[in-house]
Amino acid sequence: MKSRFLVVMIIIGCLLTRGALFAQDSAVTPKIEWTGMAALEEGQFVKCDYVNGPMGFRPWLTREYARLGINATFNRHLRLAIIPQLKFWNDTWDWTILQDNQGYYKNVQLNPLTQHASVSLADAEGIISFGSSDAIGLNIAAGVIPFKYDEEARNLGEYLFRTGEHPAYVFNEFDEAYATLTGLRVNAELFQNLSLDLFLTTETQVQPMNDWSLSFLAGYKIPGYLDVGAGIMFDRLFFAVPLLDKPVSGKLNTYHTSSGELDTFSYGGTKVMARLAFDPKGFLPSAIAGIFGKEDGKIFGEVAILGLTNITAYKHPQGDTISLVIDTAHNYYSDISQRIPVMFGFNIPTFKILDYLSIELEWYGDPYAADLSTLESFQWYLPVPNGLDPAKSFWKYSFNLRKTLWDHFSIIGQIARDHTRHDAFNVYNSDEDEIFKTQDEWGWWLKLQYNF
Amino acid sequence: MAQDTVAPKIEVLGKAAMVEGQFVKGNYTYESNGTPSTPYIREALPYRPWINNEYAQLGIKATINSYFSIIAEPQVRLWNDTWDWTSLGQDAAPNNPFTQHMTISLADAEGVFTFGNKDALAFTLEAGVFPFKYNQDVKNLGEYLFRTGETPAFIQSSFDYAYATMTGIRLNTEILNSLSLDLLLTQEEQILPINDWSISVLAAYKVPKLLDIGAGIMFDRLIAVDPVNAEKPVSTLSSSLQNTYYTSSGALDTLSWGGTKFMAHASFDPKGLLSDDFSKIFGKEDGKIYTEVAILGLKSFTTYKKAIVDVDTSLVVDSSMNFFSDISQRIPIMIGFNIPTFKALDYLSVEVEYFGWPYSPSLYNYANQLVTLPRPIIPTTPDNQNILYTKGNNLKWSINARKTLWGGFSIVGQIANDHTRHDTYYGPYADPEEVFIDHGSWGWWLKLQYCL
Repeated sequence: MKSRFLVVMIIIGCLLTRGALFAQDSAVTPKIEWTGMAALEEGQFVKCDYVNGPMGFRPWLTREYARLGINATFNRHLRLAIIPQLKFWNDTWDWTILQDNQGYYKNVQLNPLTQHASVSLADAEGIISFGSSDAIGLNIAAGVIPFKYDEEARNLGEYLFRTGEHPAYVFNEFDEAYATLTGLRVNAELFQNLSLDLFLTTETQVQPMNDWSLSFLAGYKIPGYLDVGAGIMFDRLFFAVPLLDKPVSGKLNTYHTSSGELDTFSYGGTKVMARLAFDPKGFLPSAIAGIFGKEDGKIFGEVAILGLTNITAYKHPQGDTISLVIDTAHNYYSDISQRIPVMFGFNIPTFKILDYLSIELEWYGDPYAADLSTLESFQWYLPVPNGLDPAKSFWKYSFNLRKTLWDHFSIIGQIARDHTRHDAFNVYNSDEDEIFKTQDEWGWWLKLQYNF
Repeated sequence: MAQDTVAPKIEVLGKAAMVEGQFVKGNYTYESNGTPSTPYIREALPYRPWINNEYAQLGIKATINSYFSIIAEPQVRLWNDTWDWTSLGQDAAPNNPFTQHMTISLADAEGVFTFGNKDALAFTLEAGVFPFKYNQDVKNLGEYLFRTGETPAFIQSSFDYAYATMTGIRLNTEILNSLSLDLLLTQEEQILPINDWSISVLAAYKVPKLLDIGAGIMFDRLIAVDPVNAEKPVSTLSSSLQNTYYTSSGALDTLSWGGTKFMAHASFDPKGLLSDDFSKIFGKEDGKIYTEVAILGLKSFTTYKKAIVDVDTSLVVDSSMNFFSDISQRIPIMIGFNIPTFKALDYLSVEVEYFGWPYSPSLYNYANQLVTLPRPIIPTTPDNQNILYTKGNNLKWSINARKTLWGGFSIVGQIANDHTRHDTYYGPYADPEEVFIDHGSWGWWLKLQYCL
């Protein structure tokens, strides 16, 4: 708690100091710019799983989105973005398997077939800026911040903020290859080439909530040629409620260390990420390069380690309280190679017909079930996986395309076997595992979007 | 009015804010087995709940002509529960105690008619949902007239929300820029039973930069929407939930909601007595001393019971529900002082309150049909000892600070033991009492806010 206080006081001190230095500046007239988006999304899980078995039908996906917000510029230093989002969606879980022995469908009162509405904040931040990105620019943002560090990733990748360590899960969501972070971001842009980011973020999506994480990213680009970057995230460095972060649940979450002490797996850990994007068009004469689209031909990749620390779990053999043997049933985190997702992508040239047509492949050697359903008594997952999943394929793929017409209307498509999970309004019916586990499972999505 | 030629104007209103904080030491009170008829148990919180809220408001003020304007400003709030789920076991699980919740409300939605000139005589009529603050100096404690109840005598506090959001009609008169008169007809939308109508009259007089005094009276729930079932609910359950009593004349009566509240406030700015050259080294709020007192229910009455139950004998005072016999127990007094910061901060204030209500600071008490009862609960300790009198809750305090930068960005902080209550998504697990009941209880809050 003292660490949290210190971090908060440092942030306030920096802001107040800057305020004292720049309190007189108000040369630019405040300007309001409206922004909005409306989208219709359709799709289907052509072949997929539900609670460890194939679904007996092909769930249809339908979502509608609406956003309306503002970007307000107060002066040279201060901007504000407020963009709420409304989303209409349907469940995709398999209600047909919930029949009782008399043939009646259970849990239909949980409205599996009605449309649900969710309101969220797509963006709600204030941004304080100093300097110039042509030389040295500094930006401090606080609030709800959409953040994408890998501009090339269309679906797979963007691992640093869309993964966990215990268990080592990966999240995907169609046309949302970024993270919505809540907290503070300090960004420095140096000579338009080097970008440094420091984040202090609070967890608002995945239990346990409100834990604080510290992240640092660096990116360097040679425009038209190369874009490289790396980052490190000290995930859940500060626990909001320590009691929640090391949940005790019988023998599921406890293990013996090599010295014989009893310990508990906890959420959080340290993640690292590295990425690279290469554009071979930079080597072509401009007359030839000009026939290609801006994204054509790019090769990109990303790799991450979801938890730097290996943990070997031990146990006492039956009847023996002295010696220790490896507890294979709980030895989830002893092999770092099982926590390294690697993504490779390529933009197939379309010669300006499409904005992009990309193919992404991912290999992720995690042999355990990807579900978050090792439920404790409060219906949240324990920081351990739910056993091995021998049927699970280590390979994922994603084909993505986009075409923008008249600057504001876009058609976005995807065919993929990725880390998508079912949508369920009621937690009792949610399948916390991924939808696409075996090699023959896949889905398709199509989005019509208008934005201004 | 037909000749008015002012062109309609649209002004965008907006706000984005992030609140973090913690209940460092507090209480949680819950029903012992989740049914309305069982006693409440009050316990110290075994951990320190973290507070996380995000707010976004986006709206407009449309000035139709020089007499009429419309304001519409919805608010989205993202928040987490802060109740003690560890006390409730698996029962709490389905109610998603760890996920983020979303609430949409109206921060402001009204039509405003204005006539005249404030320097001489001006009238304002507003109708709809409108924020109202009569004591401009209060930062947390105070503003009693619209943030309290009489039966039981409760007070509400909420961080950086020292005002009330009213629904109804307000007629205001400003005379010579010094005297202000308000007449309000408002409808209850927050506390059960809802939709009751109240009439309030307030008057204030100010000597600019020196003195501001005011008083008000509220005929709370003067017009009851449901006089039978809601206003005078009858509970036939256990003694801790009794709502009927004998009057001194032996008639059987029922405690009911509503009553008459009275308030007086005063603020003195000693800088008004200083020379201009000397006073300008101080900030606008520096050095102010302010106070507010209220009476939460002008009418006192004594409750009696039969000396021998079910026998027609003499009456004795029923001390187990004699909550409203002593008016001095329903008089909160607050005093505050703005510590001079010489313009380093907008304000740094200390507020102290004494409220002699000796019973549970509870806001509701369920009857057999989940209708709330107009009386405090009698919680028990974990070992089943009744707590008729709640000690240690008479003195509240609050330290508040604010710094505004560039006109739009503010940092607001608070450390307090006030009348905050737990946030709970699921009604049956809501804590009817305040968080900070003991002397040593306190919490802290920090808000980063951007406003248009």
